Amino acid sequence: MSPDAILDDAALWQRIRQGDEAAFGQLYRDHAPPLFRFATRLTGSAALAEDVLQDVFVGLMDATARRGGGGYDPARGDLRSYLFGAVRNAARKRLRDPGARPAAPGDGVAVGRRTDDDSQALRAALLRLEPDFREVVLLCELEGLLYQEAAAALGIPVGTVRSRLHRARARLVALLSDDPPGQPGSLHVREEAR
Amino acid sequence: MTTPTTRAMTCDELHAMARDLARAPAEGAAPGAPDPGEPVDAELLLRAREHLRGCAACAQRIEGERRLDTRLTALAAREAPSPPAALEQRLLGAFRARLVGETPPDVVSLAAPERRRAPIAPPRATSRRWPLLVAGGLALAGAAAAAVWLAGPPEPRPTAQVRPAPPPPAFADERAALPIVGGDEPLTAGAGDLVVIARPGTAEARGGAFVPLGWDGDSRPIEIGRIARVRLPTALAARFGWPLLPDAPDARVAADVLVGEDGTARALRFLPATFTPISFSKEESP
Repeated sequence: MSPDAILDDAALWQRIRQGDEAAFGQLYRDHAPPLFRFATRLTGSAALAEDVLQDVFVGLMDATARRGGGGYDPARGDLRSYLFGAVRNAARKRLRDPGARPAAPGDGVAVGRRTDDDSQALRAALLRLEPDFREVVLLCELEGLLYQEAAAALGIPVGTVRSRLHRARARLVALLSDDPPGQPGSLHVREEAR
Repeated sequence: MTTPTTRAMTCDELHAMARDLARAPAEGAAPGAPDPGEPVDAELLLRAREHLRGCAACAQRIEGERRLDTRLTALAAREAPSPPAALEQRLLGAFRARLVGETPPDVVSLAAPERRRAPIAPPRATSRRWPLLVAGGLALAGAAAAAVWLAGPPEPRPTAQVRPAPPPPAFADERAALPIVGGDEPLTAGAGDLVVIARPGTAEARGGAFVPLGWDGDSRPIEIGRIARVRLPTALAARFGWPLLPDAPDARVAADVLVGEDGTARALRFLPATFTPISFSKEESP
C-alpha cells in the first residue's frame, strides 16, 4: 500500500467520522464487494456473509461515534487490510454461534473427485481447510493481498503468513490429489513424493 | 549473481519458497514481464532454478504449485458474489439516522430481516437464547423487587413485588390497561417476562436514550441485540433518577431493556409517559 493511498484512507475515514454520508457510501462501494467475497468464502454462506458485512460496517459506525477514537487507525496500516481483518473477526464471531451453520465441506460435491465444475471441488477443499489456513489462502490467493497486507489484516507476523500459506497450499494439494489425471481439461494436482 | 562459493539450495529450502517460485517469471522471460506474486530475491531465484535443473521431484512440485495457482485464479475469476443492494441501503439509512440522533450511538444497530436470518439460526439455537433473555428479565425484576422491599415503609408491603405472575386469563385485561409508548406492539407477557418488541435501530427502538447498566464494568457497545419491553417497579426507576411516586410505590412502569447477543441486559430506558400507576396496585392484585 502506498503512502498516498494511506493518506487517502485517512482522509476518507476523517470525513466519515465527521458524519459525511457520501464518504461512508464511497467506503462501502469501494470495499464491500471484495469483503463480501471474502466473507462468503470464509463462511461458505452468502447469508452469513451478509450478516458479517453488516456487523463490520455497523461496527465502523459505532467507532465513528465513539469519543477518543477507535476503529480504523491510519497509523497502523491501510484501510483495506483493516476491513479484511474486521471481516475475519466478525465471521469468527458469527461462526461461534451454534445456530450459524456454515456450508459443510462436502456439501454438494465430492471432494477430490472429478466434477464438471473444478471450481466446486476447489471451493469444497477450501472449506475443509482449518480456519487459520483458509484465511491466508483466501486473502493471498483469491483477494490478492501481499504477505504484509495479510499480516496486517490478521494481526500476525509476515513470517506466520508465509508459513501458514505454505502449509495451507500443501493441504489443498493433498485434498485435491484424488483428481484423476489425464482427463481433458483436468487440473489434476498431486503432491509428489520427495 | 551466483558465485562459485554460493551454497546449493536444498529441497526443503526450495519447498519453503515454492509458492513464490511458481509465481515468479519463467526462466528466460523478457525483462519487464508481469510478476503476479511476491518479489523473489534475484539470487535466491537463481539458486532455485539451478536446483530445479537437477531435481526432478522439486521440479514436479513447482509444476504442481503452478497448477494450483491456475485453479485458484480460475476460481477467483469465476466467482464474484456481490453483496445485496438492500444492504447498502440499510447501512446508509442507519448512518443517516445516527446523524440526526434518532438512536443512541452506542446502541444503534441493524439486523437482517428475520425471513433471511431464519435459515441461518435454526430453532434449536434460538431456543437456547430465550432462556437467557427471560433470565435477564427476571433478574432485573428481582433486583427491582428487592429495592422496593428495602426502601419501603415498615408496614407490610403489598404483595405486588413478590406475587406470582397473574394467571393467563388476566393477561388480556392487563394488556389492555398497559400504556405502551413508542411501540406498536402491546406487552403480552406477565411481570418479569421479556417480550421482544424491536431490534436496535428500528423505528420501535427510537424512544429515548438508554442508560447503560454496566454489569461488571462491561461497556462494550451493543452491535446486535434485541429490545425487550418489561414492566418494572417504580422504585427501580427511582434508582436511575426518576422521581418515585409516593402514592403509588407498587406501581409498575414500562421500560425497554436492551439485551445483547449474549443474552445479558446491557442498557435500560424508561418510558416517561407510562409513569402512571398501572395495573399492579394492591387492590387489583389477585
